[in-house]
Amino acid sequence: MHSSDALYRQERGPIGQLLLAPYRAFSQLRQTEYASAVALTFAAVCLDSALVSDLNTIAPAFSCGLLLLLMLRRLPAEAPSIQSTQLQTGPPLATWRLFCFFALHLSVIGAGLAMGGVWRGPHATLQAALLAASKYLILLPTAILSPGSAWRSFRRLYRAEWVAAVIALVSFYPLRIFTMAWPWYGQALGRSVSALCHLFVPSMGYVPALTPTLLGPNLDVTIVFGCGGLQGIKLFQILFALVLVVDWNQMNRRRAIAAYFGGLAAMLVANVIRITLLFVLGNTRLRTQVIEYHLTAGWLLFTLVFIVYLFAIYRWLLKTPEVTA
Amino acid sequence: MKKIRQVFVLAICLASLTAYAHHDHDKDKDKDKSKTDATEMSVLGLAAASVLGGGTYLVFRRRARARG
Repeated sequence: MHSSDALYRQERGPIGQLLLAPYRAFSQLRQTEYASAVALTFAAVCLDSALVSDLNTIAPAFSCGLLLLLMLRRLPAEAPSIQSTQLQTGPPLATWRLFCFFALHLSVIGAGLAMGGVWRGPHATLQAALLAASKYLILLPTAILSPGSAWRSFRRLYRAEWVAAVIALVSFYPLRIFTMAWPWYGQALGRSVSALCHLFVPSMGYVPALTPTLLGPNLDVTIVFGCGGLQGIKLFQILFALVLVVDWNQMNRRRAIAAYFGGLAAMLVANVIRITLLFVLGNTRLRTQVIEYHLTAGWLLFTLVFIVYLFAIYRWLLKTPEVTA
Repeated sequence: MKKIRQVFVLAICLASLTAYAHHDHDKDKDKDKSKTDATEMSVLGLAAASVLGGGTYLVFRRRARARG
């Protein structure tokens, strides 16, 4: 009695939970056909990316990883795989499907290595768009892992997880969108910052170029592409993914989508405030400190904005508990 | 025990940020390595900020749950 009680407490403890988590995840992976397919895809995409760094398939890997984690996070009552029926657990992945899957990924690696130069050079807009789109084709071999009907039922059963993964796929670290939008986004950013800075440093000047420059009495600040707020966006996406994974079962999923896009907008606004603060403080006695520590300060500000934003929306983001009479 | 754990998490966050800030300071002294360091800096900064933000969220969540 005592030993089982001690074992129970040990399992309930944080270390016991931590040790049990991989085992539970692995057994859950084995129980559902869909999770095995997603896990295989995640591993293959990571391998492709590691072997052919030019492929730079971070978004597909992030999306697959997120889908897998959200599937594993589902409440046992919600998860259809736990109630073992033939349809839900399904047979193990067929050998010929696995063989084709790996063969296709090997050909992707081969093609990536052979066409290494194509990824690096400068391209025309259409060619660049095609090359960017081709990076998503890395997920195509996954289709062969299961028959079409199985994919359809997978999509139906894990609809919310699919939506989250697709949003992550198209919006994670939007470097290309930022690059394309920079000519006008850079101007909009420069003008917004200039308007705000003018309130605190009236004698300032503004040079509207591809990289806009704010001219101050002690310090000039040039807004280069790296100051566009992309790092803040990436930080927000990573932290929001953590919130999604941890609180997935308690979360109102429609509100989560709104909170995600709202958070992206909040990070862009935070970036305007960051550059304004840099310029305003740089034109005081803190000039040296601003030059030396502006990158660290930027990360701190983005983190702070995330925390404040999350604190503000956290309760709203969670499901309202059902009242039973 | 809970307090010790929270202090420990905060100490890790602060240590990672201090290490990052120190790295930032050293980078400015050696301009030759600036390009390599810029990428490294970005990764370090992102890691430190993620630890800080994620740690704060987890502590906040735990406290919110304890309060009900």
